[in-house]
Amino acid sequence: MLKAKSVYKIPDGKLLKVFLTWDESSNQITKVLLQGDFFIHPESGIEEIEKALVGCALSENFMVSSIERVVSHFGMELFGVNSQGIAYGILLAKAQAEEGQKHE
Amino acid sequence: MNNKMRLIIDPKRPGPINMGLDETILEEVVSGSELPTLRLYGWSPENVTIGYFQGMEEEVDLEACERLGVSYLRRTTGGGAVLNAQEVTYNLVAPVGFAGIPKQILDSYRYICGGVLAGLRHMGVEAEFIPLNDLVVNGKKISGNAQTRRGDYLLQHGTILLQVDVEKMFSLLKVPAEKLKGKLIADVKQRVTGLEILLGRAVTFDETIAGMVQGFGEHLQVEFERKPVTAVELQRAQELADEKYANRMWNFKR
Repeated sequence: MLKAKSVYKIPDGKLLKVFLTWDESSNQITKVLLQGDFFIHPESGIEEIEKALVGCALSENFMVSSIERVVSHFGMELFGVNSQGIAYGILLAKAQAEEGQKHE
Repeated sequence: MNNKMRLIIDPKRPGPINMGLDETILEEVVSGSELPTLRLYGWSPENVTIGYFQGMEEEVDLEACERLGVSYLRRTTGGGAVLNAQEVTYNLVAPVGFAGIPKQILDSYRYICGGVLAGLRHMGVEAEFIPLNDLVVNGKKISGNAQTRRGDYLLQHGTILLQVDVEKMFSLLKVPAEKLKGKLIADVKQRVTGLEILLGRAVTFDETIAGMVQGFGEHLQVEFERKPVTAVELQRAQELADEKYANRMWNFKR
């Protein structure tokens, strides 16, 4: 199990912080925490997004469609954050961790 | 003017009670016990609030808060971390459609912020709304705003800065990269402003409140019925303060 963090300013949006735990062998998310100064209505939607990402492959398309499915299911509205931004922030966390490993 | 709105001009209160009152008023308006309400208030002691989606330890230097006697809590609304100090804060609670408040979230931000803009104009300050949630004067932020909803009811609260102590703000709020600190303080100094800087004179809490009452009244075309927080509301706010806003479980939940 690997852990990583990223800080990503979403273009035209707010600052997203990602705390990611993933399984290297399956390349799947085991846990993710999304923080930031964005807005999601209703606010409890963030937990649904985080839940939907567990087990999701670390691939942009998979993550974006998982997020969009749950956003639409719960009728959420997102401001200052979006599915692409979240997926990018997650991949950034993973990439930075891998980059860090190379230099160890 | 057909729209009656309750107006609460409140004293400065501790952070957990303030957030408890904002939420209590939402409950009271949703249940139909109270009219749509505008509450204007301040903070004592000074307080740091973080947005619903932020991490307390990520955003706030807790040791510095303890040292300076500044309380800290998580809001029910999204948005960023704020030091609530020399400012007037408003909390507006109403159903969508009341006094022309749009149902669409972005439009309703803009519309309600129009009350703050009108209030600032009365005080001699011409500001503009920058989506999603800021009011700025010549590119410098003077007001931040945040909204949450319960069905067709909304709660929007926001700050109107009188004075800004950027050094203090940055000793309490963490910046993303420690090494950029000097740079960011300079940057933020350029980006934040207060009524005293803009007007070049001392500005009181009371005159700012008077400006906001006038601005919101005209903008929303409402007739205010001035009425203090009720004993029932205060009791409920204290419960929420104890169970939620002064509680570690809530404040450190993300």
